[in-house]
Amino acid sequence: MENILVGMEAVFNLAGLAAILAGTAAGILVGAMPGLGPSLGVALLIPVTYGLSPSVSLNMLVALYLAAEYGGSISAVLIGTPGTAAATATVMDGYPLNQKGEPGRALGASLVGSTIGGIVGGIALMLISEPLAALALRFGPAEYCALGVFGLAIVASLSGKSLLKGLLAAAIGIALTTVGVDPISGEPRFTFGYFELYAGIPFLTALIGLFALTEVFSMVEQVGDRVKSDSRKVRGFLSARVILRLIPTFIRGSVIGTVVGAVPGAGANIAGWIAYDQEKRWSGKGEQFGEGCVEGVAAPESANSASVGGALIPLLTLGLPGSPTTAVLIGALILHGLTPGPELFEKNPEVIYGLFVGLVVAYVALFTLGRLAMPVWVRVIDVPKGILAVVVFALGTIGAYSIRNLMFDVWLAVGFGVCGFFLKKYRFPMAPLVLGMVLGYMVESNYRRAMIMSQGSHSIFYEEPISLAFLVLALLSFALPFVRAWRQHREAKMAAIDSDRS
Amino acid sequence: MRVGLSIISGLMICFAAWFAWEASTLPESMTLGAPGPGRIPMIAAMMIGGFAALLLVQELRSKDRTSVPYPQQPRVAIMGGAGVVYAILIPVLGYYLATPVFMLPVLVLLRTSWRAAMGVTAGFTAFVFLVFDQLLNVPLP
Repeated sequence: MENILVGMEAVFNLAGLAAILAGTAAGILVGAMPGLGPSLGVALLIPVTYGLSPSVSLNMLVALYLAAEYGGSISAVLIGTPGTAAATATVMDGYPLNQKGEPGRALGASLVGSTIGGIVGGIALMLISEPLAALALRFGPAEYCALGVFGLAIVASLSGKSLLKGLLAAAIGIALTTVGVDPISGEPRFTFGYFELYAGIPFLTALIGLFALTEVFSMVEQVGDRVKSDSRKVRGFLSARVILRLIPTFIRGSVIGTVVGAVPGAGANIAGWIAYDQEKRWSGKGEQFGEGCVEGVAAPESANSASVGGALIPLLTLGLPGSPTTAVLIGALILHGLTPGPELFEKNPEVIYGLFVGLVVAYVALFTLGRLAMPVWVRVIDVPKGILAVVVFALGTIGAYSIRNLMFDVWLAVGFGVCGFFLKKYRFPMAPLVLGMVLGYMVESNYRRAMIMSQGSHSIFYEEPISLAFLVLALLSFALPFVRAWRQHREAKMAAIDSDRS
Repeated sequence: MRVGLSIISGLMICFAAWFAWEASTLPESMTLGAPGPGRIPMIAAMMIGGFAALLLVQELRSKDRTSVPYPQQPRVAIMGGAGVVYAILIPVLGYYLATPVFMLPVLVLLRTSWRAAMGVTAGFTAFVFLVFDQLLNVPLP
């Protein structure tokens, strides 16, 4: 209780509330614009937080993150294009509802679902993270190394259609973390005499290049492809009777979203699809799904919002990012002098409990802003890509420069942007690259510390039960997508044989 | 075989070879049998080289000849070139002067009307000045 009061003190002041409000508004904008998204939004907003306290900064960035997950549904409903990956399931019934002349109902279901889902995810975060952090405080280098390996093992589920490209991207990410002065021996590695590289490749600079500048080049290619929304059409909202009817849907979606969000690598998109699929079975309206069923919007939206709270659990307690956006948040925490992981709970309770309180306030802000300023958000979709591209480039430049006040970092970000553009063109997934960059350092430094402790014996990794458990989980996590793909392949083959026979 | 992807795989193999060579100049182990600063970079180089080689083989054996479309190459080149000029100009002119010099022509080249381009440029520069300089005290060049 005392900690919650500390958290309330961190939030309920002018700077704290203004930051949450600004982050929420920016998040809805970023989410509503197809092509942008929470990771890019958080990366671009980080420079704005330089002058703010760590607690206010984190609340602002998380407010953007959660609001962007809602914002994605606006373009999903109005133009049939999800603003964020998380809103892909929302298109299924959101767009048909718009075509039936009921966009207000669809956006209402999305807004109420996002608010309820987010609050459920936030409560789960409060209840689960403290005991998990207490457990994590007992981890030594072997456990942290195994945890990092477990984190890296989710690369299989983040790789999309080509596992080989995902593995390659993750290996490049790991290689990039070895640039700079070696943390154990102090020997410079791959620095070529550039003092700017002694501290390593700045993670946020790389992210600004990979997310923001890469997207700039993609947006430039789409200049002229404008899809006009008709903001005048958006009227109406959910009636109290419909909201009451949808409560079981919201609860089911929220629980699914929280659980799936907490699994590293699963993310908001998968949460949305699972919730959509389950709602189709449980709602008793399965045949109406895909034709403009309000439950088909409420379920995925409550799930993708709840996944934000879920995704923050491994981030705050273990320092493990489960998605590109949480990886960017790790960069932001480090920038503000905070170490993501269990020590945060002991050393910076105002940041952690401020975030818990801030989450609730942010969802209230999301509901209020989402409801009152709906016509404004709707118009955002009409912003031409050319303007967006130039503004994002100029903001990305500020972000890259301001991290260390070095022009070298601007060039580095541009380099990452160009490389990222070609990697994206050839469908290399970015998430494994980012994962490699976040976890490479954690794995290497703890591996070598553990090996020093064990005098060169690898037995330390399988003699410690927690470390062994993480390694087994890593193996399972890595193998599961293969097993699933093999089973699907076999089932498809059997079905083909059966159809040939018949 | 898709030429572009094969070239990327080849470039990655070259990068891995160079990275491995650099890693080989670092100590592989330290005292007490602990791994040295060269161990993980060498493993990473081997992984990159191995996966890139597999990707190259996969591409060479593939019958897929679809090329990745580059429908707007000139626009991407304009943006890339303007970005480089912008990065050169920032230390020379300062952020607040270099930004309009970069934004205005690029916006017009990207099919924005002069009036809108001037509005966006002026609005953005004023926003950055007010938020970063006046409100947050973030130093810009």
